Amino acid sequence: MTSARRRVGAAWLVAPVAAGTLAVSADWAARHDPLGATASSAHATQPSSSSRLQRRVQLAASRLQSSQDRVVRLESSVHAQASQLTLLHQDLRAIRTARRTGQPVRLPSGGTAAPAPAATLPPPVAVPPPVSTTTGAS
Amino acid sequence: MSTGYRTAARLGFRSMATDVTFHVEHPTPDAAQALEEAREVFARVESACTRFDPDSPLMRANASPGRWHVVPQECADAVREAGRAHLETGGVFDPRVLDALLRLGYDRTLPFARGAVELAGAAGDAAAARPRWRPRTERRGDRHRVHLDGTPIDLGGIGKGLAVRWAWERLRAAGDSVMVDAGGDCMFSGPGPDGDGWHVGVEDPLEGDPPVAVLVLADAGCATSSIRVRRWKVDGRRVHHLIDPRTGESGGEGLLAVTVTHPDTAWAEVWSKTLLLAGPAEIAEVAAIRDLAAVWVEADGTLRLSAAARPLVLWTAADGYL
Repeated sequence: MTSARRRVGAAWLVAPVAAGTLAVSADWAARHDPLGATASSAHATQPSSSSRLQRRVQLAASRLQSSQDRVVRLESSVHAQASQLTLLHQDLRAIRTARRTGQPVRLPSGGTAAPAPAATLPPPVAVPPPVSTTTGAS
Repeated sequence: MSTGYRTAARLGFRSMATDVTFHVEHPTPDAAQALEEAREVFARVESACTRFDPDSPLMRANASPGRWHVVPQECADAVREAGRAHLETGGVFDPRVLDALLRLGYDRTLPFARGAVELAGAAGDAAAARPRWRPRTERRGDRHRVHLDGTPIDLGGIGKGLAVRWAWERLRAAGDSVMVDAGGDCMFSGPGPDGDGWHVGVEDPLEGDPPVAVLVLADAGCATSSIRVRRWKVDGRRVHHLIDPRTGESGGEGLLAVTVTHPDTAWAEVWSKTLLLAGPAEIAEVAAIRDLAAVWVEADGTLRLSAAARPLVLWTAADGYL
């Protein structure tokens, strides 16, 4: 082997070692630079805490929205059922009137009904609420 | 003062031919004494105003009604209140119907609760129309005198209403809520046992149970005039104790019962009787003119309400919850 070829071969052996040493040194310098380290550390923790808070806020907002949606749905349902109850109540009154007069009736809810025999129409609520006392004949 | 726990004091006894009940919610430490004083009120009113004891102050005055008589304060107050009621109702409330009751045989306590009562009537015709009744009362110190304007009287109905009023006045500070009930002549104060008013059933005059309606009352009295119990046959003829002074006969044909609520129980009693005697054709008009909260049952069992009564009705047998 000539002397030139020996120098090139030695350079190929030394170069990776030198490059590795340089990289480790640069990394050490970067990690031990007080200013750079502080900025890096703050940068690493601040986004993490903020995003947790944001997630919690988003979750709470989502729950609130969900609850509001449920309230709206319930209100709508109550209104619908109240309307239906009113119609049924009107139907019942109309049927009672028909039962007394013996005439067919056009129900407020839109249907029609033949006069029903008295025995098939029980009172709407047969059981009275509990009472503290009763007034009557004495 | 409320303890925070639900407690109640009750006292029941029999007086004036009816069952009396006092109920006090969250009683104060001196409630027991107030209950006893309220019971004594009933005893005093009964002994002063009964017509079934010939020695009672009322019956001594009835024996010579054209003279002045010294009587207990309860009797004098009852005569004065009956005079006011006679004036206020245009003569429809008239304690002088005693003679008609006697003529129909109702001259003693009768066993109405045990079933049909048949009596022989006394001689005499129905009373003719009378001039206005003008009783007089006088007080000098603790001495009370009455003058019955020449005619014997019956203080039974208004006497019971006044006993309820005076007993309630003894009891109203004895707890958070107070009920005085004398066989359906009642007075209520405070929010009641459940805090939403006192629930009062209006008895079905045809069957008795269940009620035909349930009222919610607070700080009010109520009374019912009904022909369900105090009715009998005299010489084969059906009669009852609610006498129309205009005819001298049992009145209110076509009505079975009338319940009136009023701030004062004695006046609830006066108006329930007056409305029943108005009959089915006029009762609604009289109730409207007087702005009375009234509930009545017609002969076919139909329940009617005055406009002033509607806000007080929680439930009816015909329509359920209103």
